[in-house]
Amino acid sequence: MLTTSRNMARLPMSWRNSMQQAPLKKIVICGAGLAGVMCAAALSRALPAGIDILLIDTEGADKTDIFFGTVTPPSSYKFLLDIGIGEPDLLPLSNTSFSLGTQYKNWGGEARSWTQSYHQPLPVFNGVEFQHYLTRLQSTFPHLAKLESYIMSTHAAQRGVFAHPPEDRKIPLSTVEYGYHFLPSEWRKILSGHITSAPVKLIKADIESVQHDRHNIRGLKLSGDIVVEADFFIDCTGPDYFIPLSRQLHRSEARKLVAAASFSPQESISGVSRTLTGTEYGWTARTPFQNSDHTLTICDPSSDQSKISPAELTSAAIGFCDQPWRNNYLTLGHSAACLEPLTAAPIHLLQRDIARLIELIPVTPNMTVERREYNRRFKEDYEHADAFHRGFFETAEPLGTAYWDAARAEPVSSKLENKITQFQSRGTLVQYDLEPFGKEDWTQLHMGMGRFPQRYDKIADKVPERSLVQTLQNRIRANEEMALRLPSHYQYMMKLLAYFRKQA
Amino acid sequence: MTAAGLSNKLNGLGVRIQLVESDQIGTIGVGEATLPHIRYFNNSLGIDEREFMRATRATFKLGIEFCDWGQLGDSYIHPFGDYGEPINDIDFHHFWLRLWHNGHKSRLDDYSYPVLAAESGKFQLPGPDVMKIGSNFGYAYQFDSGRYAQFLRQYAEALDVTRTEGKAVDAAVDAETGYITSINLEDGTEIEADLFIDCSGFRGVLIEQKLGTGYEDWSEWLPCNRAVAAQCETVGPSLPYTRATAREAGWQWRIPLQHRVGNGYVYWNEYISDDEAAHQLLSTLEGEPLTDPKQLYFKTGKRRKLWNKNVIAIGLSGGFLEPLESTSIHLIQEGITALLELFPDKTIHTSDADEYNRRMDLNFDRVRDFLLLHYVATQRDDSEMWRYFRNMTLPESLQEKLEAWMHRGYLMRYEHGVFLPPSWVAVMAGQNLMPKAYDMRANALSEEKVKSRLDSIHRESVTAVQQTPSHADYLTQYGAAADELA
Repeated sequence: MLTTSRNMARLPMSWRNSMQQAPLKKIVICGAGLAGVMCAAALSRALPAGIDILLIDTEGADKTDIFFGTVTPPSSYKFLLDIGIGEPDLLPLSNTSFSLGTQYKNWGGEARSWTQSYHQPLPVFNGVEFQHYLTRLQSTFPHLAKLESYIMSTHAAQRGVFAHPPEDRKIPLSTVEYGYHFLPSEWRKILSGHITSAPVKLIKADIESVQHDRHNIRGLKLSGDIVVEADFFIDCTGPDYFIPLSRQLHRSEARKLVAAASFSPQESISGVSRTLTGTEYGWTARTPFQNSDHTLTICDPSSDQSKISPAELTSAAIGFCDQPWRNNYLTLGHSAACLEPLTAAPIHLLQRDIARLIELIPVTPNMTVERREYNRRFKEDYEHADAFHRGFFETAEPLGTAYWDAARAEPVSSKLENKITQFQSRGTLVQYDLEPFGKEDWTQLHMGMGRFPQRYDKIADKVPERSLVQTLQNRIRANEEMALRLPSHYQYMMKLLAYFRKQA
Repeated sequence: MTAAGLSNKLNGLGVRIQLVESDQIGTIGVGEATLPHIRYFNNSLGIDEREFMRATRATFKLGIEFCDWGQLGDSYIHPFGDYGEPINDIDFHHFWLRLWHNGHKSRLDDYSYPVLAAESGKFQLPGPDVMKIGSNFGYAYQFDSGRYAQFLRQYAEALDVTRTEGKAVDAAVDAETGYITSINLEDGTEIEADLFIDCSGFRGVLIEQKLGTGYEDWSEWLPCNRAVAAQCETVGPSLPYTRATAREAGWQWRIPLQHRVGNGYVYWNEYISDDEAAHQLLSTLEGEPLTDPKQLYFKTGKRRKLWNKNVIAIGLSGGFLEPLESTSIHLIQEGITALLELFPDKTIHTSDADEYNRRMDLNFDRVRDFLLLHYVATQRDDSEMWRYFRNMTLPESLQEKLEAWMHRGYLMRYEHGVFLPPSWVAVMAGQNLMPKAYDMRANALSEEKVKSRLDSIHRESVTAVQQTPSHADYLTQYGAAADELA
């Protein structure tokens, strides 16, 4: 096959010229907070030899890392493994523990409580999704219509027990997925340990000025009279935009939040899920780590902060920019977007951003295609996550607090509206392309927020009631029995750490 | 199909289904090649594969061979399956591209078991281990659509669908709601219902003639507007793939069934007369014609709403896209599936119709773009039609996909749609659109290791094909051959 020349006419001029230009050789990452370090570690593993990476540790890049929260999604396991960090590397060297999700308490005007667990997709019977059967039984067998009863992760979370899920699909535990409870500062340290050699070079410096032409960054002048030039620049300096060109990015910033964190030592792991409790000023999350409990408080800036922990407060504007990738520079982490750590979305989307960057690392100096595609998928991801978070505030009884008012001042996207309408109308779970949150996440959120379907797929009626009830009772029983057999999170972790130490 | 699909799922739920059809109105009688999704549709109805294949004289289908699309003399097969396998989570084609750019050129097809099997006229069902070469592919059927309709009609009638012979000529509309309350047949019979599925073909008796829904004309993108079809005798063993051969003013299909071959020429009447098209078709038949050429007229596009008020258009009444990738039956079955998921109560909720339309619009749009790709991913300029396509301003969605591919072999992904990345690779690579670069992560492995891996995949594929029986033999062995043909 020959490279076609006849299709050249329909391709943009800049694209055609790019073929003669040199491939990418040097990448500079500004900011060594969690985003910068994670990006450097991931790039250093993924990219072939011959591409140098300079990581500039600038002052304050980790200032807003608190807004990455303390829970990761299940996908973090593979993300870290691809960087060369397995659980034997992670768990003994940090306070990281396992996470089955988040238990929400006292949420909203109705003081709702439910658990968002990490779980495999819910079963489908006779071609009909599971939630329809719950709706069907709501009036006749209400005790069988509770979603949480069928989620093994929730059973385990409520009992504070854990074990790695097996592959055998006959075992109820196999339906569990898990993430981690993590501290951004610890992960930053562990990731830094993986980038101590080529191709990543680390320097500590501040950016004094940026050398650029109208569109591209050509180089950076750093403190200590250091000048660096590169083909591609990644700004992970945080929301303060140390790279001036980044300040030109339009960013939809809905509201500001303030965060504070504190620790209390514990002798054992106090649970296997984060507990997030709604308060008059926002919320407080307690996360159980290996040897301490971490408390994260998020509130509206206008709240009486004297009531909150006396710990140092960090503020950030929640939102995301419309085009994180401009010309030859990309904003990543809190330079590009800051999400409220209401769920695992902040770290989840950072990891997706990095994975997307790796997939789209430029092959030539003309980055039109990469830039357009990265920005398109970035926008979709953040809009989807935004919709999911906004779903936490769509309730008939909001709290009349500054925090809630600000959250609800955000418009409801048409996608969220469609999702809520369809679910409440008939239990249908509307999905769009490549969403970061799956059907099981949305089902738990809808029902947790009291959004129950008014009707259900009538094909669910074809399963005889007796058989359905029996099947569901068996499932609940299997989950309960499984949970009883599992060790506590603490016991499991101790045995696992001992095993890792032995293997090391 | 709709009656069968609805009756299977709604049987016993108090929904009465009445199928109104007229023997006076012929069916299109073509649209005989399918996509793998049909197996899920048939399975959901509990249809036995062997029985279905015998009844419809079906052959297996591993993909579609496209001849003369990139350049005259070229051919490639768009298979139902991936090429090779990902290496270190990186799509296989990037490694193939790497070797290609470094002077080690090979056919991408050489890493596809279904392509190699099709080329060798071989077939067997995939094994249980989907990770194994020789088991990790999909398949569909090529069948007599008239017989399929008959098969499903019998199925539906067995499930208490009432069949009424008659031709709908008018319908009554509620002045207040705008809903259709009944249809009137030619013999004066009035049939009332709560919900109407309009399968009346291009006419759209209810969706268009009565409700005036409107039609989105896509002939700007896909200008072919006629087809002439004819059946001929089979010459040689029946092959497990469909063929689509590009012509100067359109393209010609060849669909091998157990007992005959279906042929057709889809064309743009701007650049070829009906007579000339029929002549070209007949002159290229490989066997003796069994039927006179049948003329068909169509306008590519779709209804502005497939679900309007209490009428849902399924099939040609909903829209038409030329059968270049066998999507006609697929879009019908997508419509049926979406309707079942959103099946209304006595009260029709606007939200149900809106969601149905959203899903079907997405389906149609994405199929349209994929079909258009075949016409524009070409080096041909040897006729007015091809020059039209070369000068066309593409939909932005397709333009961006082409640019991404040409720049670095990147595939813009979506989740919801029938043609996923491997299909796009098949057509773009098959029609000589070679990217200028590839994912640089493919350079992480040494060239030797990459060559070794690709060679191994090719060898395994060839070995698997050698162990596969001929398609004709397998039809008999499997019990799918019609009794008189077994």
